Amino acid sequence: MTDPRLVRYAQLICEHSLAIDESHSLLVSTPPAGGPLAVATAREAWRRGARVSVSMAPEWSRSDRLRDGSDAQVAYLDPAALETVERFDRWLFVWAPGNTSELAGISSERDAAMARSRKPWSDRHDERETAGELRWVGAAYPTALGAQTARMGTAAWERFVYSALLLDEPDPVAAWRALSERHERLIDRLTGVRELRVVSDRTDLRVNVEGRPWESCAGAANLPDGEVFCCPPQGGVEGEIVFDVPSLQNGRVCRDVRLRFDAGVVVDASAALGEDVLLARLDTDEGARRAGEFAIGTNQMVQRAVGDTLFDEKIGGTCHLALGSSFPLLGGDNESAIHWDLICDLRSGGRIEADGEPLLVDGKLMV
Amino acid sequence: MDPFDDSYARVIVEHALAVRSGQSVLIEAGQAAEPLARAVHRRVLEAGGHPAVQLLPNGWIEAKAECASDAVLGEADPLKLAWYERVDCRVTLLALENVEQLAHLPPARAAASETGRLRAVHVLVDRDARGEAVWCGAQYPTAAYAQAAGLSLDGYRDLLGRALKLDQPDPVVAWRVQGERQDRLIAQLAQVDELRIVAAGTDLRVRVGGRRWVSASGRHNLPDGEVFTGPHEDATEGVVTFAMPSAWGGQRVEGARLRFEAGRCVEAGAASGATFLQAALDTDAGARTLGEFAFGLNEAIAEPTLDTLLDEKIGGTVHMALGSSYAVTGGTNTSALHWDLVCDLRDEGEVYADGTLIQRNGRFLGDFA
Repeated sequence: MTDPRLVRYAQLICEHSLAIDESHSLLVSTPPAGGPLAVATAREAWRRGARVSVSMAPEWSRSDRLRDGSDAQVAYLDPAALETVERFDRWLFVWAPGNTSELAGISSERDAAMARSRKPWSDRHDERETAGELRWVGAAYPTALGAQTARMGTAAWERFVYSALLLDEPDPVAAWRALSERHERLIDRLTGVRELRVVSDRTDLRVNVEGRPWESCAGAANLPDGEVFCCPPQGGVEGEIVFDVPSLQNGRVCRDVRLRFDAGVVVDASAALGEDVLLARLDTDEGARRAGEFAIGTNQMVQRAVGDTLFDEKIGGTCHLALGSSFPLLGGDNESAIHWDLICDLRSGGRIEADGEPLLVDGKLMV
Repeated sequence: MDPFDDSYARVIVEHALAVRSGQSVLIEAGQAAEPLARAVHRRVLEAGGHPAVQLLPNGWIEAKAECASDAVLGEADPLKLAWYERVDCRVTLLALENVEQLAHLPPARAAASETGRLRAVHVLVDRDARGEAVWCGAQYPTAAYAQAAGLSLDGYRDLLGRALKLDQPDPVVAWRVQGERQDRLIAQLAQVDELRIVAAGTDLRVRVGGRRWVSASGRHNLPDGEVFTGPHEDATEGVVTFAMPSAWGGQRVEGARLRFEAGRCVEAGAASGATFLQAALDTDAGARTLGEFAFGLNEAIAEPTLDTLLDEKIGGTVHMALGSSYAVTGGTNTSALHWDLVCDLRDEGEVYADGTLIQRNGRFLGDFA
């Protein structure tokens, strides 16, 4: 029998995230571990009259190609894969983590070559999305290996994930709409604000947000979700911040990342753990030393960090800042190959001031 | 890697698809066949091809047949179309986890499910006929097939391994030899105008003169072993009884009996599944006409497994399909249906070619042997 939580999850995806009706063609892209969510969502989308296809590729189809394939085989993008972008106007990416070390021993250069070969696909996908022809959502599905990464039992991780998705609420779609309305009130408050100041134990950071549009993330593109963000102008960050929520980067942990910004650029950086990873990433390119995003996490059902940015950046009462690329649609003009979200916990003694007025105190929004 | 999977993968990549460097290869597989899919993927990489893998999630077909609208269920899957229109090679590894997954549904829904599948497959079949693509369906041993055949999983796997010639010193060579034997039989059949099949409950005449016989020796189906043609659409006369159970679109029919006049089925009955049989015959105008007539030639398959892919290959049987013909045979029947029904001739069966006895009790005689 289908887990009743999956039925609710499928309704949330089809109703709230993708607004699926009989005019749509939905492609579900999933690893094998995400099969149950793929089938549950397809059932709901079919009932709404939509066409639904599934693309389920096992992890080894990528790792074997990277390990054993020639350069030409690694860099091959099938014309059929490119064509799929034209044929579907709704996409569900099931994020069902497998072995995070599956690519161990494979050179990152090969991985990058494969990623580059996908660029025509992602460019066309972005183009159609920007033109309003295509909508997508990435949705987390709890797996045993995801639980292992979060250092929890598998059933406990399932409870955590479904709770973060607001599936324990009597009406999850209504719960996400309510969060969306809270975001609108927060954005009303933030609009017109010139400067945000983040203050905590080892943090005193000023972020210029004047005239920058704020974006609400309430389940349209990520599940779980819960944040509002903007793209600060280049040069608009000053001061020091410690990101006390650990960040997992390609299997390595970066803990207590400390950054000092001067005129928007990181001029000093250290970390209690993984400092070499931090310094290497800062040297990726020029844009890697600038902030591409500043955001406030609003999901009150996520209250502990699990080592997965998708969840951690949503923790209600945190803020995060991304080093690297920004979003041009929101006026961001920082370019970089990286976009690294780093999270600062404000739930015990932290605060955010908006032009000197308290906006968030001890993790609680004053809106 | 499991030697069964690796040996099977070699037959698929070297013999069935004959993958060449630079070709794109779509590997479709039921989730249970993931180990074989990986073995095929590796062999395609070794051959210099570009493999892509798409697994079929457990429960997908059933969910679609239950939930999709009639229109969506009966049309081709848009993702499959995008691939089938472009790939050089495509193999589907059949690995059902439940062969009765559609048995609880109204027959029309099960039939629509199969119609939708075939609409996509026809794109490949047509491209194959034009020499633009190669397709293959290959059976993988699952508990579901074993249970349907009344065998243990190991027993079924052994049977399948023999039927695939994986027990031969070099399976790829063994399939080539099978192909040569079939070519010799075709040389004889090509001179025949009318075939008459006589067995218990059966006396049927089909006209095949001028039509092309095709050898199926492991290119499109694995296991394989048959020669087939498309009989004249207006000439089939008489009665045929299919003692072997047959399934189409997940619905099973046992003891089907069909009477033909001037090529069309004018009367049909069955010991069980008669309702579905009628629904199938009413699919469209072409569903009452034979699109295929064939001899099964795989001597390693002796017992029916209730799986058409295997049963139609049993040495000593003939089978005929209601519905669409393959253009390559010269057959002209079109239909969304292509339903193979198997008639066992190993017990008191006879085949006459233009009046001459050429097969008795399932064994070919004289120049046909």
